[in-house]
Amino acid sequence: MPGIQDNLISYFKHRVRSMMGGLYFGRPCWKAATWIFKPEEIKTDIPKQSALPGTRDELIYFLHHAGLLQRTCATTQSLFEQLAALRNRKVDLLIINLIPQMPESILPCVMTEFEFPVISAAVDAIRNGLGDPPTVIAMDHHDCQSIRVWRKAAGTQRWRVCPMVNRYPLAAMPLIVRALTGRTVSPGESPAEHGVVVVDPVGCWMFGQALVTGKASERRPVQVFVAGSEPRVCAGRIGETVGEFLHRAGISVQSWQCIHNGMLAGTLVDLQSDHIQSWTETISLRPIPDAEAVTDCIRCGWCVLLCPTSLNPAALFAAPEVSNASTTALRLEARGCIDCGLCSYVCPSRLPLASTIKSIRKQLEAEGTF
Amino acid sequence: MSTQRAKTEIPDEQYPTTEGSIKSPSAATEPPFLLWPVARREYYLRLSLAAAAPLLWGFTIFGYHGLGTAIFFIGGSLLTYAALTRVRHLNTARFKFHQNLACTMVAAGLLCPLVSITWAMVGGIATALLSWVAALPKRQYIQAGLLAPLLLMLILPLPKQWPLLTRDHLWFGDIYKAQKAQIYSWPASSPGPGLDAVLLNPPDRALHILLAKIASDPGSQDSQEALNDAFALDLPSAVDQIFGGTPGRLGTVALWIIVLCGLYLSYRHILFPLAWVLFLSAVLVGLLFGPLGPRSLEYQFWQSLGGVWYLPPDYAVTLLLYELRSSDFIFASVFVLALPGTMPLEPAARGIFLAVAGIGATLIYRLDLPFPPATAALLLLQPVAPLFDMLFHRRSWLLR
Repeated sequence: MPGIQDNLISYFKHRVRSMMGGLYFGRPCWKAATWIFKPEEIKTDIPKQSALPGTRDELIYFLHHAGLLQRTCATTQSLFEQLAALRNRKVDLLIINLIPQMPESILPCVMTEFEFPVISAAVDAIRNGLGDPPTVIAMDHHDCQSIRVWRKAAGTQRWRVCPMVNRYPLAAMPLIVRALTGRTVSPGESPAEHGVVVVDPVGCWMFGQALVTGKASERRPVQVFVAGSEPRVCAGRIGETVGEFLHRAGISVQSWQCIHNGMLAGTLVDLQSDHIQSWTETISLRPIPDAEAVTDCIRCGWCVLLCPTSLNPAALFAAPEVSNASTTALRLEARGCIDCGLCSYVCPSRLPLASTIKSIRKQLEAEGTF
Repeated sequence: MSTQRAKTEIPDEQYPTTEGSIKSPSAATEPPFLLWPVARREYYLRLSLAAAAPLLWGFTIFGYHGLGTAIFFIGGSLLTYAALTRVRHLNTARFKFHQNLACTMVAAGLLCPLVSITWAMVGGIATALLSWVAALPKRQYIQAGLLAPLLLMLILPLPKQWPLLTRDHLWFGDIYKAQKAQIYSWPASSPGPGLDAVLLNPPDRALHILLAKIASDPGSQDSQEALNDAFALDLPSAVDQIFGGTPGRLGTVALWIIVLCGLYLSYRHILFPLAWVLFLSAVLVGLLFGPLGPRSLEYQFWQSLGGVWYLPPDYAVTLLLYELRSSDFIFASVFVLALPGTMPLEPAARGIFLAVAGIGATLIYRLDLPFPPATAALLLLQPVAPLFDMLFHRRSWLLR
């Protein structure tokens, strides 16, 4: 007879299925996830306080030697880049962003469940290096287990746990900074220019691993979503091809679509020629679906209503490709797009709104007006 | 992952792109790789399904006469659609079956069952033709199809009293007990003429009679007594209005089913609940501060500017609730607002548009113009919806 836990698991599985086709992305399927690191790869030795960086320069030095120069998150700058942008400014707030970057992401909660000691040690080291700024752990309010873990440790570590109502794409850097501080990080700016540092859990984990082993981290956790099976988190080697990674994870696919970094805003990758990057968060595999026909805009207004940065995607879509006096101001607003893909997702006419706005942005960049 | 969708039945080549700017079909090879399950087709079909419910309730109230009117109206529209799409040289790519069906179903709800079958057929043809004209390339998408029932009402002014229910009993009572009411003879009825229905004032007519009594001389004792009588006797009961025991237009008589359909459309992400609330709030404001009627403007201009405020409070509340129930405010706030293209896109523009439309609707209603007030106000304003978008454009907070 199934127990309460089994019922909960099946409930979460159902929720995942519904969230893949629903408008609101509710609680993800955290419990169904499995962490398939081999046991010997899990490090339990936590560095001593004396080994932690005490100043900002020491933190930069640590990051440099840990090989953490590149970003480890799809939507946030790396800690190294943020420290460079910070210059001599005091850090007003350190945000540990544990909100899922994609609707289907389970990384933050899996990492909290299995790797909390490493991550919390890294958070401690970063706080030390930044001069002990106020720290917020931003989490999805549905993730009760992770909230309990972080709250339990909050007494000794002096951080504040902030469960938030997560509506995709809250985890995107401008949105989380605005939600927690009210400050606006304009396009092209770093949050550090506003005194805010945002760190993602994978960055923390890789930093923690480097503190433990003393070597640059070559792996990162990657979530694998295969149509028809449970989501998994596997250790991916940075630089290996996606095909090799999937082969190591025991996944064999035959001419399926392979999508990098999320179903809403990701990119299609080739198994043999594309590589696992330091910011590869998810790999999703599915059979190639039938394309839906594109029809005219019916002015339903859903794209405008749901745009997290208050753009009018329908108007941007209708703007002609060639700039003229009347459309220049409108086209410049494409800078406000954060590439979340929500507008294209909800469009009943299946218009490629997000990709059109992206192409406008590229054009603006080429013109030097971004 | 529940992303498998049925193939669209019409190949892509038949769909010309929007202003030539669509580069490729989405969903399969470029982000987003997931799509919201409600495509354009489902959007209109759910709307048609919702519109069918009040129509069916209308048939139970008005019997076969209402059913015949609606069938001929919808039939005319569908036949015209079929004829238009068969003419090869006409550009019908933007004129879709489900869109035409949804528009016709909503338009049928605005029709009075008294319209003869010939005129119903003409109205159906006009609905399809107007929808096709509005959907021609290089035109802003507008709900021109709904103008057909409004044109019918203008061409065929309705009598002052409308029939209620066929057969020999009322939905909410026995026809023989309606002593004062005039018996209405349906054509080809059985068991004999004169036993099928009664002629009653439709709710908005009853209201305007009452408003005329208020406006005649509000200060006098006689007027006060007339007012008391009017509020006590002239107005149909709330139960009749909610369940459809009053004469009226086919789809608008039963409030409860319209509200249920509104909840269904909101649940299906087709109707914006906030838009619904905003529009009805604007209507309420308009009723609170608008003139009481055309006669009040003529004879008691200054008092009329006070609107309901110079009535005793209990009468004012009764009047406001009655007015909200009695006309097509609720119907339009559900079905006309749910039709895409009716409103502007920007949130601020939507708010102002709905406020203007709501107040305009109350003016049409209180001034006794021969249109369904809320539908007419929304249809008159919707061609300028893009102008509202332009005037009240919202800049992204990232760029401020």
